[in-house]
Amino acid sequence: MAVDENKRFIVLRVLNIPGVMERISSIFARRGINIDTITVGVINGKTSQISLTFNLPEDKFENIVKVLEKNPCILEVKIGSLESDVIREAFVAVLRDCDTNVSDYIRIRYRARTTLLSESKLLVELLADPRVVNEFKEEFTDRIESFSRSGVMIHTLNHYRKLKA
Amino acid sequence: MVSGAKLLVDKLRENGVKTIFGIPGGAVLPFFDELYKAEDIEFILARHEQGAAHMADGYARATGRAGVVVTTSGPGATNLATGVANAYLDSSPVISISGQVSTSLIGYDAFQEANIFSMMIGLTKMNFLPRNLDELSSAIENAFKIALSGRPGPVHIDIPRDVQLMEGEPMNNIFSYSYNPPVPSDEEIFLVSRILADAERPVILAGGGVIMSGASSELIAFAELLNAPVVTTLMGKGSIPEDHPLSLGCVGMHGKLGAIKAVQESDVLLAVGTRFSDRTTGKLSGFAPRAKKIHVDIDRSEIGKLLKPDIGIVGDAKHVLSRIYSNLLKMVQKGKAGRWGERLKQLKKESEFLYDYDAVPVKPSTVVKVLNDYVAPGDFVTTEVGQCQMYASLHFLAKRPRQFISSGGLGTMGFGLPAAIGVKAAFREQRVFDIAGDGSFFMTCNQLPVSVDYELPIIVVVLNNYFLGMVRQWQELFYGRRYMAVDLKGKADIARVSEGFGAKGFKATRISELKEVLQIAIKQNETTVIDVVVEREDNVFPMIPPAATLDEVIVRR
Repeated sequence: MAVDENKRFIVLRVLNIPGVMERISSIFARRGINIDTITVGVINGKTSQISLTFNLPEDKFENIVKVLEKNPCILEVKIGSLESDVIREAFVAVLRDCDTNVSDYIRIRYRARTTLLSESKLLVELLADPRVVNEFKEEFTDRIESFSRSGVMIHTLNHYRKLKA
Repeated sequence: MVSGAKLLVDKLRENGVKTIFGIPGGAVLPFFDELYKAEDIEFILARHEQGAAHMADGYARATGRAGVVVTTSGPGATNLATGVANAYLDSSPVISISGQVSTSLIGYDAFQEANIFSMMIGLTKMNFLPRNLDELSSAIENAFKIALSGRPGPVHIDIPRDVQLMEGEPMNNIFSYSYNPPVPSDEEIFLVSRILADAERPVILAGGGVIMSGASSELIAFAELLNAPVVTTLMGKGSIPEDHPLSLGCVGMHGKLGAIKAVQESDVLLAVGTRFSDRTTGKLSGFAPRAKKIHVDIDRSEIGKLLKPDIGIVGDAKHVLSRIYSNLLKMVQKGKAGRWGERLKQLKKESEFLYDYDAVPVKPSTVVKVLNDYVAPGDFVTTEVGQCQMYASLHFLAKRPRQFISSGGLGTMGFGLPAAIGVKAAFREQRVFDIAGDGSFFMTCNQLPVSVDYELPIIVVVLNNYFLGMVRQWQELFYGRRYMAVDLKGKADIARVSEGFGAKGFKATRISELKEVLQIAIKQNETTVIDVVVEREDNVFPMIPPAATLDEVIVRR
């Protein structure tokens, strides 16, 4: 699969206090960087994890990582990569003009969960690499009636890479 | 059981706060009621919150301790913005506190409610909006740690009125900020030492970080060992005594000629505690073009942000300089390193100015030159912003760190006068001078009564050219002398305005008069404003035109 060199994936471990999201998004906003996707989950009462994706050339990426690292409400910054980490996005869609053949194809080809909502309407629930989500969207663009996507969740495997080395 | 307001006062006291600047108001009254009982904490009532923040900033810069400002919600807090932003750009540890409407009213457009939390995000190192006693306790504890550790900076706490009134037993369990100073490896230090030992024309560029880390004596020993000239940024002015044989003064848009040339001729540039502001470097691609560049800074994100150094070292200036120094001791003989030789004396000579003590109207540069004789090494000089600031930078010789206090990054006109009051509040035995222009003076002269009321006498020397001088200079040089919106006419009488505020006001039109008045001001030890009428269209030179390299320096009209 093609890799966009400027596509960035980072995971932040942050304090679970009000205003943290605004503090982080303002770092991006004042530099004119658009955040493509953002997902947040509580890790424990005191900390949360934020996955962010955005586009930025290499020479500017280094500085923004350092700026994030020094922010008192950010406890850890990890950089993710499509090649070596688990990067997933949840995608839910309702497709029209589907029969059981289409449903079977989607289940096998995309490893998605499918539920027939009526004779021709199919609910698809997919958890996949965001590039696979895009492929699905493209393949079924004529049939997609509505869809939602969660934004990208990044699970870094740096720890295991180090163990292996 | 303790109330939020009492907790705040107790925590401020625990953190060594003896002076608070600010203005009260509805949303912060519970705190002031508690402060009423605290006899060991002095409150200095400002006349506008921006000035109060500058006072806290001046206090912080002069002492190295946190300066504290307290205001009410809404307009009280929005007025803080300029002062807090000023502290942020110059890495000054200001703790700013504002009252906020009660938590149940936040977001409902209550009287004097503004979204201060969001406003402060971009202007502070960190900010808090505590909603209960645990969060309040943790916010104050962490605020001081965050403001003072690593690269210092302002922290804001927005405290709702009901949180000030809440009673309970707070627990410090929200989070605890910890900071571990970065320590460079032996290899990095050795590598840099080797490069410096082998340098023929090394130059040290000292920024505000040298002053904040208390690394002045290390810097001087270092420079003397290497026989390397030291140039400074505006924020680094005073990191080496400017009458030291190796000091060449400030470099930058209005730097000294010798300093500018030294940087351009250097083969190794060691920059310590500086962020390579455009006002320091001119066009970056032409800055020290032949030099191998070593950048030392405690803030990791400054390394490579603008200038891409050959070697970047993340660390505290004092720590790094002393470690390189120990290495260098084994590599070079004191004073024998490098090949600056006679060139150094030439560079110093090139920076010399000719002062005309008899000219009428007087030259602003001569006023600042004369002022040097009245400023003792223990005294302080603050400045406003614009031409007056650059005359001060060029002609005032700072003798020690923290003596020269100026708004560098934000360039806030009106900073110097309230900052001088803040400095004086910390050092009552020392004299504090503010070198001002008439444009800046009128931005915060409403704070003069604070100096009078609290017996914090300062001496304001206004270089009065009845112009917004720096804007006029740019319009002259780069906009075909089309003067637009810069003429201040001069109908307002600065001396009489000052008298009206309860200060002593004088007007001087000759250097001889200025000297007489300065002597009176020093003897009387009262808040004094000296309106010095200077040549209207004098320009600050040298000047690097905007977006030009240091080599394109202009020295005359």
